[in-house]
This record gives sequence, C-alpha cells and structure tokens, in this order.
Amino acid sequence: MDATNLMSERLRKAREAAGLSQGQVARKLNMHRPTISEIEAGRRKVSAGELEIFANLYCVSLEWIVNGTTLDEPADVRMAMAARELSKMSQRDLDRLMTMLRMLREGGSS
Amino acid sequence: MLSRKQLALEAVAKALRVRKQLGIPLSNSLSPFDAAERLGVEARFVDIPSMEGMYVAGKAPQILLSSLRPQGRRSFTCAHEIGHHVFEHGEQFDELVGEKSMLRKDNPIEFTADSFAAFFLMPKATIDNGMKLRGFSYGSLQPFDVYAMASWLGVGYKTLILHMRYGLNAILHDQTQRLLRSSPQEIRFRLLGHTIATHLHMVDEHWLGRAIDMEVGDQALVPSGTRIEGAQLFSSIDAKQGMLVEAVRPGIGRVFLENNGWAAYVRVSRRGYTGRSCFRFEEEVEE
Repeated sequence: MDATNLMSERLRKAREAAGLSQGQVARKLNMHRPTISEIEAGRRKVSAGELEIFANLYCVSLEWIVNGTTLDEPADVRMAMAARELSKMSQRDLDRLMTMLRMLREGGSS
Repeated sequence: MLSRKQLALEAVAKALRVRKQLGIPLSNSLSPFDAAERLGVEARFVDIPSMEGMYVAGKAPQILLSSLRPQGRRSFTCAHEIGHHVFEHGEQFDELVGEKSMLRKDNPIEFTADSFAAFFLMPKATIDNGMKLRGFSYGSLQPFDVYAMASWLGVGYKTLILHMRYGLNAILHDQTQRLLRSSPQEIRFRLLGHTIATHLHMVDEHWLGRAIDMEVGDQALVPSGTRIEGAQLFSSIDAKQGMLVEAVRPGIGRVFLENNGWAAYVRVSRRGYTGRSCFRFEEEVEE
C-alpha cells in the first residue's frame, strides 16, 4: 500500500470515528457522495485545502491524516500512562484507545 | 491536604459556578454533552468496553466516553470528565466503575470530579424544584417518582437515590433501602405491563431545560394527547400512564401539548452511537 492509500485509509477511519457516513460528509461539505468514496478508495487526489477541511470536520490532527503521526507525539506520554494505569484493559481495548489518541487533534495542529 | 468535606464543598461551588457561567437556571436539568461543547471541550463516544471515560487535556481538550455504558452512566461520566477539565486535573483515564459506589472516595481527584458531576447534574435547588412541580415530597417518595426525576435529570435511578441520601441528606436510611429494592427494570414492567430491552424515558409536562435525548429503539411515556412533530418518533399505543412513543430514526423533533403550551425537543441518535457528540443527532442520508 503506498502513501496515498494509507492516507485515504486514515481519512476513512477519521470519518468513522467522527460518526459520519460518506453521505452525511458529502451533504455537509456540499460534495457528491461518490467523491468521498473515491477519495477514501485512494482513486482521487485530495488538495491540502480539502485535507484541512476534512481534519476540521472530523476533529482530528491534520498531521495524523497526512503522516500517521502527531506533531508533538503526546501519545507517547499517554502510552506510558497507559502502561501504568490501564493494566486492567484488554490489549484490544488498549490498542483502540491508543489509535484514537494518536488521531485526536492537538492544539498545535488545529 | 484538604478533607473530603472541603473537597466536596469546593466541587459543589464549582458546579454551581459553571452552571451559572453557561446560563443554565437552577430550575432546569441539563445535558452534560451540550455543556462540554459550550465549554470548548470536544466530547466523543467510543466503543471501548473496559473504560468509562477519559479526559484528554491540552489546547483542544477532549472527552472520550464509552458508548457501551447505560445512558445515565454516560451522562454522569461526561459530567465527571468536565469536572477534571474545570479543576485542571490534567489527563485522566477512568476505568470501568462498578455500580456499588457512586463516589470514588479513596482518590481526592476522582472524588472531586465525582462530587462535581453529582452537583452539576443534580443541584439541590434543581431537584427541589422538579419535586415541587410534580407534587413529590422527600418523605413519601415512591419508586415511580424517583424514576421520573431520574429520567428528567438524565441520570441513573440508583445514582439519584444515592445522591439524595449521601449528597443531599434528604432521605433517610430506611427509605433509601426501600427505594433501592426496586430496580429500573421492575419499574418499567410495572409501568408498561411488559418488559422492554431498551430504555424507557418518563416524560411529563414539567420537563424543563433540556431536550429529551433518546436512542433508536428507546421508548418514552409522554402525557396523553401529546402531539409529535418530526419523523423521529413513532407514536405507538396508549398506555396506563400516558402515551407510549418509540424513537425510530436519528434526528431532532418536538413534542408538545396544545392545551397548556408545554413543548420539548426530542433528539434521537443511533443506538450505541460512536462518533463526535455534535454529530449524534445527524439525520441519515439515503445512500
């Protein structure tokens, strides 16, 4: 999978984590639903401006959508906390929580 | 180090100050999810079974809430995380909490956030006002009465009883035990004459201050003769205590009575919704 596909995959994950269907996103952004579908399938290029709009709508870090990382890696701190405090969580729950925390928009990138 | 009593007093004062800051009258119940948004805190529902909630501090603070917990518990946890935010506790993770104890007394930070949550959602003046409007008195409270009050306040039945006993000192030990012997499931059965797997909201014409928030499949017992606006609610049958309506699709509608001008918004979300709190009542789009 190349970088574009990974980014389109992150766009899909961010949309789902925001609670929106492709149709709802299309309605909010005044776009056609197939456009959202093409973007998430990695078949249509996304401009920097569009990426920013998606990041704002989904309330996630733009850095995370583009690179899969966050600017100041606060997730590392959280993971240390997690190891200390979240010992009762299953590995699956912990992974899901950490994915969510990496995705969230930080003050620096909003 | 502050005593538990001092921590509780600080939490109560802060809860009342935040309500005032948001312009929420003491006569009204509130939605903590809406309150979080107005405080600039993004609330989000996630389906992670072994957590209650988490407060993520920073310039863009966020609250994560488990979509898998009962509605009253989600509401209390959201208010608890708002407590972490307004007390600037920094990042806090809240593991799954048992139902036995409402307040986590052994940890000052958690105790403060719990006390904040209890008085943010259930200030004494709000409960007193709700009771007065409904003609209830503390000394003669019945399980149905507590259930109606808990519905209006958006908290769990047991949470309200424990708050009345230990937070407000408004009911006696024996009465607390008697009320706790009835479960919400039994009360629903006695109201409807049959069991339901989903939540039953008890709505009366004294419902003030917040929208009636339901999930698809939930039912609400509303006053007889209630009119419905919007396609979110399906009116089913006349029940013993009023009219029974069911939430059928996400979106925002309204219920009202023509004879006395009472009206309330009804907001319906998907069952077990995960996503940003601000999108939970989005209407579906034909794909």
